[in-house]
Amino acid sequence: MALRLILSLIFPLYLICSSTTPIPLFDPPEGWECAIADNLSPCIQVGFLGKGSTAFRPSVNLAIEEIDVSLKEYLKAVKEIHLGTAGTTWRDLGKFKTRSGEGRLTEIGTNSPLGPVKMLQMIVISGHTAYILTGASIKEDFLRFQETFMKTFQSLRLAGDLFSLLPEGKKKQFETFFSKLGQSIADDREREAKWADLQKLVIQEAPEMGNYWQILVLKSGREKIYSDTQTQ
Amino acid sequence: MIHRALLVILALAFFTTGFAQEVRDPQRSSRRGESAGYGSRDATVLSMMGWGIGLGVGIATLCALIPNNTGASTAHSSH
Repeated sequence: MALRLILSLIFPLYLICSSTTPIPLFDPPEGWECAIADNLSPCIQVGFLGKGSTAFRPSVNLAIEEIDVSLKEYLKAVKEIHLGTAGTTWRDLGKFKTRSGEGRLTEIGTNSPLGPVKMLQMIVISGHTAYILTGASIKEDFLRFQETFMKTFQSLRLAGDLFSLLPEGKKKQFETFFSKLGQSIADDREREAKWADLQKLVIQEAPEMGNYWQILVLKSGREKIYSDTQTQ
Repeated sequence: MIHRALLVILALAFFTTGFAQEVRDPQRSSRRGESAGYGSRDATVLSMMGWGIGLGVGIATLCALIPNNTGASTAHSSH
């Protein structure tokens, strides 16, 4: 009887806790740098920067938002926000296929101190989350980067956890490594050694997962390695 | 017996849920569509500020991207 009661309590709790938001992954354009995100909005997960013909560098960023509406209604709100900004144009370019499902592609035009800017923004809704990828370049460079932005947008995929998209062997390798992280680290020297091992593992064993995935894994691992020092 | 086994499995599943799930969770914004608005605004900011770190340059510098209290360096490479 007691067991039944415990089971009836644990199972719904497990279902609630296991339905966490998937991790959005995408392949940033090759050779682009990860942006220093000191002054970015909290909804921006990451940004990448390329090299343009002017001081205005082409960029791609990923934002997420918890929502409770359909894609159609969300787009309506997005349109209002953009058109409510002086000197900004917004256009719905239609459906867009990604590895995470069908999204919507839009085009935004605005002005900056460095000249007119053209952006592509792709929005995918999954569950109660909107995943928003935005690519921006100065208008004169736009044709050069349009294809790059589209390719990046197409690569958007949602993973159950950081390692779920890895081949089985590598998945096990990473999970084993992570399960040992943070366990009884004796001193700073050992901590540094573990951090070095993690970097080596990420770079050597999973280059195909792309820069963004590598950053997420390094961030996750570093938090585990240095978790006890952060609480001191 | 079966119940006990099930209980152990569920308990294990419960405690291992969220393994390596360290990504920032989505937040409900004060205004619907706000993140898309910030996406385009911050894209312009990023492009104009132009601060980035090349992964190939040295992965250790990625510490700069990781907010923590360990006194990690915040080396920037401007372009």
